[in-house]
Amino acid sequence: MNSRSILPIISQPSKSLKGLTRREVLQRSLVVMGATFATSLVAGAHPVVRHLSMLASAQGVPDEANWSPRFLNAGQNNVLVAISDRMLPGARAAHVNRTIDWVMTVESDENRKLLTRALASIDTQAVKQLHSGIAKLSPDQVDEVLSFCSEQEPPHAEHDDDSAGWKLNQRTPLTGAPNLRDHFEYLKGWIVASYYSSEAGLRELGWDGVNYYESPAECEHAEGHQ
Amino acid sequence: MGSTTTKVRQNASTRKDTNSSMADKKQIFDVIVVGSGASGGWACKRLAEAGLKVALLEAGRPQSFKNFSEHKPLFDLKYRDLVKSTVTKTRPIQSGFDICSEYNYTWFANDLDEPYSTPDDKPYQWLGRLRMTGGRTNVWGRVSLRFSDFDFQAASHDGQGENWPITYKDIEPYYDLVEEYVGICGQAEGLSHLPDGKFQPPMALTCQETLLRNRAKEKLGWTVTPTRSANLTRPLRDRARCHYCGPCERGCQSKSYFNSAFTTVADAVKSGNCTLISNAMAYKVLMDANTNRARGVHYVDRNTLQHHEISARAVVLCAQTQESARILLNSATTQHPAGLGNSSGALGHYFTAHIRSAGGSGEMPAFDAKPTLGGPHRPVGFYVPRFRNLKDGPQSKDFVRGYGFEGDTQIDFNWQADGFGEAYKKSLLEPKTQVGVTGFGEVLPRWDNFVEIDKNKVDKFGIPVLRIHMSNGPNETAMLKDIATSAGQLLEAGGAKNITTYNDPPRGRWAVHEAGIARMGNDVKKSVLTPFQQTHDVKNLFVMDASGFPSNPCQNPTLTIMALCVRSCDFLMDEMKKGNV
Repeated sequence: MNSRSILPIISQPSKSLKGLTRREVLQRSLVVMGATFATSLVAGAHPVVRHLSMLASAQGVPDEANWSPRFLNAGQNNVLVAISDRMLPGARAAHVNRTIDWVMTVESDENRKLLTRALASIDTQAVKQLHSGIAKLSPDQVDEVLSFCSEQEPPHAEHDDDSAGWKLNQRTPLTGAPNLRDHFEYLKGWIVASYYSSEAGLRELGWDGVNYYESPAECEHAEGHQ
Repeated sequence: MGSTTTKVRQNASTRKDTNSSMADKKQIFDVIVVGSGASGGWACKRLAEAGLKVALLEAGRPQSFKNFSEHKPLFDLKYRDLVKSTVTKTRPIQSGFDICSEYNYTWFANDLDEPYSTPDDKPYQWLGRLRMTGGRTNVWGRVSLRFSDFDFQAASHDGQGENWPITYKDIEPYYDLVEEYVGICGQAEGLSHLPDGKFQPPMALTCQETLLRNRAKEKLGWTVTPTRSANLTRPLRDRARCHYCGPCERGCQSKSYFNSAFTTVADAVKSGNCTLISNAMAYKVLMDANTNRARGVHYVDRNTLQHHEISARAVVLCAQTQESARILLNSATTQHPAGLGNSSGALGHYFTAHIRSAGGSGEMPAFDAKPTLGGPHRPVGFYVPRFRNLKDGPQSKDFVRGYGFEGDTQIDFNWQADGFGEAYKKSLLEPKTQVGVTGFGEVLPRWDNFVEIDKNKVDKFGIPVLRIHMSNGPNETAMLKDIATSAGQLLEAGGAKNITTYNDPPRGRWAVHEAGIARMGNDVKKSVLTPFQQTHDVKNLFVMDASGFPSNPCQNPTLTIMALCVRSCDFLMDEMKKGNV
């Protein structure tokens, strides 16, 4: 795969958990949830249908009415809400900030620092660019800041050897201090992963809660593939 | 597994009787089977259904349908599988297995409690150490392939290693028996080096795979076949056919994949002749010095840490290749100072696995398909049987033996899309049709790939741990290079674009297909086991997992492990009837 590396995890050709980017971790999880051709057919006769009707309810991210962040401070949370909803419209409604805050309670110190540093850096950029913290900017102004960040060149490069006519994956580790683009990509990784692991995000990608199908996807091209 | 759990004898930790060592000694079983995975399940089923009283020692907890989570969406998971440290904190090694996730990581051994060691220059990831009834069959890849006489007689073709002491004819009826019980879907291809089996209908190839199959045959002469897999496409006994939900490694409520916990082990327990003892870490085989016979097994209760002994007329180790070797090495006595069954000195040596750190991927046409999470997910893909160094084909100058490819197609979302906002969401829906292949290659059995007892380290249970010495040899290095090259050839022939290949030997990624260590043979000076997996040195001690493989052909080993196990159980029962065991 020729994916661009994202802070802080560098893509590896061998898919050990440690080598996956945040989005690749999500991708791995989603790959086994669904596939390519939507031809679901529920059949009451199959034993699994009975089981599916009795599945336990949610036990994940706390969704209490009087929610307050456990890891982030109020200011950081406001920055995250502002960024996430422009990064992925619908993120605020899907409580992406709550998910990120929740998982940060058990994340490594390194990832906690990277997250808070990314929030602070983009907020600082907002002040520098538009003279206001990002939480107080209009949606269009937030977009302006995010556009600036996303257009920066990452300070790291990929290296591809040419081997037998195909590109051989030989990624080099990230070097140098992260810049705004890295901070943007790091936050994007978390926001994308949190949004598309929510019910709203999954449904946006076609998930319908159906776990029973009559048959796998089959080739329907009568002419065949030669 | 309701019927299983009701008949399971709970271990000492759940009983009031804390003096269970004495209680254990009261009953003498016919056979003790150690391990409840692919081979252990079959051993206890075969022996118990024949009327023998079997004690099944399993190092892990009882498995239960309530543990299965294949239908649980991410948002119902505590941390949505987004926090690596929830898994890596206690499973820093096991998490290297890509199917070990927040969903199922507690099924795996806690690496901190159960360590092992390696030399600094030979890192080895010992993955797939399951601690549940069913062992690795809880999470296995389910690829089920037969070996052939070409594999059994490989040494005669290239002079490397030893031939197997059996022929295809010896094992063929057991392949049939096992396949018909397990339920293997697949397609007959008529290849002599990958014999066809008793298949259920195959799962269909996708459009992209059909294209790859046609073009690979036309341009390269290579076969691309639907994966032969232990997933039902037709109902079988109390098991329903696959309903294509996807993640078999999280369990299966409809028993549509083969897991020994709800098949062979359940049958054994149902017979009334098998006592499942869970949470029992086997330490050593106990010997009667006067008769030179195994008299039982010493195990440690993983909850109470109490030590127990259990007695039987015969002992069958099915603990997994390295674990069985560990038990034999830890069972050294005055008469067997180098470990049980080790008069040849071969025990622990000739350790093999499959190399799987090379392959490739490329983009294929989407044929109008759109990515969506709302559809069936086929649990397997395709397989490319070995095409290098075949008996009547051209021979590589660089390496002997061969490899096969496992592969699949994903029509995925464009997760690497740039930007943000609605533009990102729109780009995300652009289909990314990827075909990926991974080579699984044979590793030659070498004396210097071996395991031994680490004299300086014990696990949480006080059991000395293994030190594993494993590295690529020149043959594997050359093979990996060829795997990357041929992956590119295959994908190019199939019409893939933007092809990327990889060859990553420094990472030491091995498939969870270990074998060897206690190899079979007719020569007592060069082998540990007889052709019936009986130790040459102790007649009532057997090792029926992959430890006995004299070589490790590139096909996935589990089907052969099960077939050999049934064959050896029949031999054991014959010997018991004759009074020889």
